[in-house]
Amino acid sequence: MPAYTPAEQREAQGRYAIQETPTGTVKVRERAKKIKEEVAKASSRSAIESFATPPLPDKEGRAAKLENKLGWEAGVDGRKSRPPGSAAEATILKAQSADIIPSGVIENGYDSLGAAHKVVVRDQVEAGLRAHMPDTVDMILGPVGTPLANRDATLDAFIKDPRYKDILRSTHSAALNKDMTITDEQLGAAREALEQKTGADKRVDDELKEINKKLAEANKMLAGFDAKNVAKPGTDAYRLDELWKQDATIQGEITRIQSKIDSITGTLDQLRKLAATERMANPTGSPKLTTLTGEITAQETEQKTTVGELGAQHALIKQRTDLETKKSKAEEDKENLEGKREDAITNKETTAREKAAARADFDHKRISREDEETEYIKGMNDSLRDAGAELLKRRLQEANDVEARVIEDEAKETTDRHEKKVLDKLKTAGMKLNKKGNHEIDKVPALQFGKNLLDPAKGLDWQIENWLKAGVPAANTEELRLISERMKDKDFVDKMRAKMGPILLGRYLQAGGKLTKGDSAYFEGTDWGPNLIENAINGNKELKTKFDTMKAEGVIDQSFFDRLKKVDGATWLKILALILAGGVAAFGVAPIAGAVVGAGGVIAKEGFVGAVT
Amino acid sequence: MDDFKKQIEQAEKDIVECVVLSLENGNIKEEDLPEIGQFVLDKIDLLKTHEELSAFLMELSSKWPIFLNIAKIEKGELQERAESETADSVLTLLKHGKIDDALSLAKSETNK
Repeated sequence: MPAYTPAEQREAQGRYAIQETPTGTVKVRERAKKIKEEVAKASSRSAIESFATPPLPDKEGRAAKLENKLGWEAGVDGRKSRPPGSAAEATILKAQSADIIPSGVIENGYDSLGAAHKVVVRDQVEAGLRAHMPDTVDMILGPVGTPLANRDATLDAFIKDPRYKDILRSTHSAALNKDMTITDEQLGAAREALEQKTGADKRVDDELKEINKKLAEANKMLAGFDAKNVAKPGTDAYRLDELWKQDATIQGEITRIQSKIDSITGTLDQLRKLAATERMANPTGSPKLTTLTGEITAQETEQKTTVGELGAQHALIKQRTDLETKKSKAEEDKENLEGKREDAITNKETTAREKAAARADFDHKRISREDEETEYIKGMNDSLRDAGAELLKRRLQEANDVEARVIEDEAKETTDRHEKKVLDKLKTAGMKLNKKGNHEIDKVPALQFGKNLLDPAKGLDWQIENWLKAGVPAANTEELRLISERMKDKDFVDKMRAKMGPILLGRYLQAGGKLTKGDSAYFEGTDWGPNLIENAINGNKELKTKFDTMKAEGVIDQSFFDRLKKVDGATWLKILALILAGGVAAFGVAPIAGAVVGAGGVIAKEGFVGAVT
Repeated sequence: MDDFKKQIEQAEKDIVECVVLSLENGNIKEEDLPEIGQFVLDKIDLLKTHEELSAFLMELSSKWPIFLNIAKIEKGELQERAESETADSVLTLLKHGKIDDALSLAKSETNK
């Protein structure tokens, strides 16, 4: 297929754009409309930023999200189980509560909030700002617990930046949409596994108990046969021993009785023969027959008794055999049961181990999930604070980007190669580019550059010379001589001092560097220190415009900066830090100007800078 | 504003237009937007050259074909730009009487 020319491509895209489109859902059309509105209101970039973050769902949508994301135990109706007073109920109530104020700001704006909710937003935003630049916030809003009079107004102005709401939408949506790593399904599966393993362990446990019971019975039985019980009447051992001891007697008795029985049997046979003969001879009976019959009866009785005696002796033998069988069976049972017990113990070890592992897995998942839900709610609670911190970060980044661009332009424009070299160094001194290409403070070098300035052994001029000499070989004596000469050029040095001093100190303060009273005295003793505030103001277009306006309106007069040099060190440092440490970038000129001019009006008369000497 | 920055802004505009159209047409879902937006924001500020912009748009369109048109246009413009630069070079060579070099350069561009 031949490639389209760019013009053809645009035409094709245009045609594609005006084609009749199928009807989308109201929600999707509404989203498309919002994107178009964002383009019209701000820019295409802003529209991309808006759809990079999922929109905040409406009230029902948010409730559904909380319902789905929090809690994992299903009740009998299939919905999440949250019995009154349970931890699950407390969790969702906390989450619902954490959603109210951020959603109110996003949907209806900060101004729509009631006074109590505004207090919450201000406090949260202040916390976010303090976490980022505590010293500056302390100066602008006042220390925690003793706020300045304009604290609420300053925070309100900050919060009303339209970007705050946009960022909050992003932070709050992100918090609301955050997925749990441990899912309901994982927890359900872990619990099911635990139930299975617990069941298996119980079955083996019951089996083992049954084996132990039978083994105890067998052992008890065998204990009855134990040799130590031989002398203990009533035991099987005693009885068996007794029977064995009687064995010879029994055998003798059996022989004797058997012999007696044989004898009786023989006598009976003879008597019966005689009686039969006599009956043949005297069918109607005779005295002899009567006698014979009587003898037969007596012999039969005797025989019966003797057979009974024989039976008694055999019963003793059977009793012994039974006892031995009983013992053998008990021994056999014991052996079998011990084998089974060993197997059951092995099984039990396995099932107990598996049950413990399943329990540990379930507990780990449950606790992790509880922690995640706590974090989830914390994220929702922190969204107001995080949005404040993010807006502050963006404002500082923007200010740093502008500052870097100004320095870059000045470096491009200047025809002075020494000035260009210093400006090129200044642009990146203590700064780094983030992945989006914005300028951010690079803490370690930013602090180091500040320390260089504050070090009496080095100072600002040392830094200028250091940069000029950077990359110049020692052998290039001519260039080194030129640099030394240039450092004697007052106009050049003053210009570089005015440019570098406020910027390097500003980056130092933004990196968390501190200024002390001793630093104030040190600044006073340098050629460039006393002009730091003036140079900082003149170097900031926004601040300069504001101060020019104040001059024009008579709020401050021409000698303002001279008088500023005479205020006490602490006040001077405070003003310097306010201007340099991102105070202007973060809060605009008004709070700074207010702080400098003071509530009482013109600086020369009364007000904030009251320590004029 | 330099030329490249304008091109980036045009690309952003084209991307947004494409997204709006595709949403309305049902070619993408609302749920796709965060990923698209994040992808664009993560990469677009890092672009330094026309070639990188073209490669970015090709990558974007390989993930979401709705952007294929923009990628093709950018590629076409890049080609046009290269051709224009070659034409300028050929003319310069001709002006300096380096006819063989000019012909060779023109031929190399035609054979691409």
